[in-house]
Amino acid sequence: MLKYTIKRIILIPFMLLVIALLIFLFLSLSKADAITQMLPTQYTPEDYYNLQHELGLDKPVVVQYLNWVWGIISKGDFGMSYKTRGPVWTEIGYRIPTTLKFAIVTTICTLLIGVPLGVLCAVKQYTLVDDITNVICKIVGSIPGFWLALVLLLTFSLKLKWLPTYGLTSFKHWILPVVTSVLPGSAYYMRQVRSSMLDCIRKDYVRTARSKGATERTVIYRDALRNALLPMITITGSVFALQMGGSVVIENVFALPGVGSKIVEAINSKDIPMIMASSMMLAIICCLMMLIIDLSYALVDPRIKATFVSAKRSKKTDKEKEKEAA
Amino acid sequence: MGETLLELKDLSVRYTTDGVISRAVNHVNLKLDKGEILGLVGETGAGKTTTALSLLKLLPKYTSEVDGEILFEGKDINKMDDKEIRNIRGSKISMIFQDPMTSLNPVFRVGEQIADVIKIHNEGISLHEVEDRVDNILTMVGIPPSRKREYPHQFSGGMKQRIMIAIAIACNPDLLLADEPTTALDVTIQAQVIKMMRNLQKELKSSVILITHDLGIVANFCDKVAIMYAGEIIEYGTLEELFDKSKPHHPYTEGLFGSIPNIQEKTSRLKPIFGLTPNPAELPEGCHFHPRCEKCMEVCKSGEVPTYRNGDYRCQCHLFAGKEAAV
Repeated sequence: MLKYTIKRIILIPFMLLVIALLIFLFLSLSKADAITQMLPTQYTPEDYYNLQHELGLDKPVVVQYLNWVWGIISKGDFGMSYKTRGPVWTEIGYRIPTTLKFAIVTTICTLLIGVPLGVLCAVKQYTLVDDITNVICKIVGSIPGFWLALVLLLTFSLKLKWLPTYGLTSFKHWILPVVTSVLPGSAYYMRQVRSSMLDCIRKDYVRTARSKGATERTVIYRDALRNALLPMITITGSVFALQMGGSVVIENVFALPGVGSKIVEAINSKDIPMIMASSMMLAIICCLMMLIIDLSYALVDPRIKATFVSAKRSKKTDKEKEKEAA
Repeated sequence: MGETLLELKDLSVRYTTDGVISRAVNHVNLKLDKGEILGLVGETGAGKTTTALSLLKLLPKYTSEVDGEILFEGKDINKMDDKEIRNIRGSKISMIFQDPMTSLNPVFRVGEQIADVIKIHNEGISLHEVEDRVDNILTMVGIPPSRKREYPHQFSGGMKQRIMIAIAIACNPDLLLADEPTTALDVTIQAQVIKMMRNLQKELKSSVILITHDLGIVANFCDKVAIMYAGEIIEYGTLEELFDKSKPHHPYTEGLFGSIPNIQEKTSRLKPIFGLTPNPAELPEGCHFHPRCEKCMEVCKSGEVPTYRNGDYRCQCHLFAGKEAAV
């Protein structure tokens, strides 16, 4: 188990290096000229070159990348914001808890809705309950998050005035953003649980459990569900990653003080160090989450623990892509 | 012996899938005494496993339909509700499944899986006592009790089958259904498992229904033999009666014996039965075996086939007409 854990942990820095490279390259390609924005309207070419030199933007891209990465590794310095001219970290640091808290709450809610519904549908396969739940899930699952957010906001905050429109200060503030993120997520999760559960319900060991005289509830929730949840652990990781990516949209619509809304703000003001740092933060959180997922996988499944198989690495590439999209 | 433990009266099982009705078991009558070992022999698809599963009501709920009576200690299992049948499963009737590789739950320790069945049927038993009994049972099936904390994937196929047997005998069942317990194992392990099962049976005095297509195992293990074909029991008798070559047998039984080599006789070629088991959705008219039967007569092709009895022995074939008392 220790060997497995160490192996997983060693992989993380390398993964982050690759993610950092991708973030950096895409931003260099974008040719966003931050310098002209930072200078006063009347500037001389000399001012331009001075500032460019000061920011280190006259060096080759590779050198810029290495400098940036070295800054993070050696001093934990994510760079200076072009906009505030202060360290990026002070801006992001206090926003991380909000994003993290939000992602954890939504992931937990997704599980709480998705697992029981999935089990219910699997047990009642092809009945009316199953059909209705499936149809609702397909509808909910295909609604885009930003649209749902706006509609909910219009209905419950502006028209009915039941719930506040922005911020995260009280329980009431949490309702709309959480509902917006949880609905599509749990629809997806429920379908996964259902198919995984259907698979397990037909397994021989479930029949063995029945032949022992166990009650139907024990058979479903102990013998079948425990096996059905093994693949779900991985999917929980991707649900969490989805929530992190989705935070960019949700935090903006509901004006939540998180990393996601900061990214959009930074993109609008071409504050490149800020964009890189925020994306990097989301990536780091996701990697840590993946580590936890991998470790819990090994804890729950004795077969993985026994062989130290390093499976499920492909999920990380999905997550990188999401970070890029952000 | 002599006391009836289980009686099947006119048991039929039908599966319905997409409107197609498969008649897997047709009008089976069977009697099993206490302590008796019955071999249920037949090809793949003859309805052996379906018969066994129906005894525990483990058939798929929505797609199967069971008719007839299954009298276990005088009570009809077919009419029992969920709670009653749960009390019987594992404690009075238990089953050893065909494939030990997939029949054990991969995420629970084997000790837990054995302990489960003890806990279910002995309410209020202390954990200490459960552990003791698990240790005992593991010793009985020849596995060191120290291995109970391991997971199924750490055991070999033969060991897994021993665990399955341990689960099945954990509550001293009156009836043990062994569904091809050795099919998934290689020959040397088969011999060990069969030997062990025979010793356990002597110790526990359970009745056993052994489902197999291996006549060698039947000869080693069973008191009574029932030959099954297309969901019917076509020949039934004691081991001696069935294995006595001087007596006439159902052509299908003869075919079965013809397809295994005999070391005492010189045979240049085995005589297999041609053709395949009929599709239970389209059983042939008359005797279900007639399209494959070498001794097929005109009378076999339609109508009911009468059963000929001689004491407990019975055979369902027109060839027996006049030879023994028809019922």
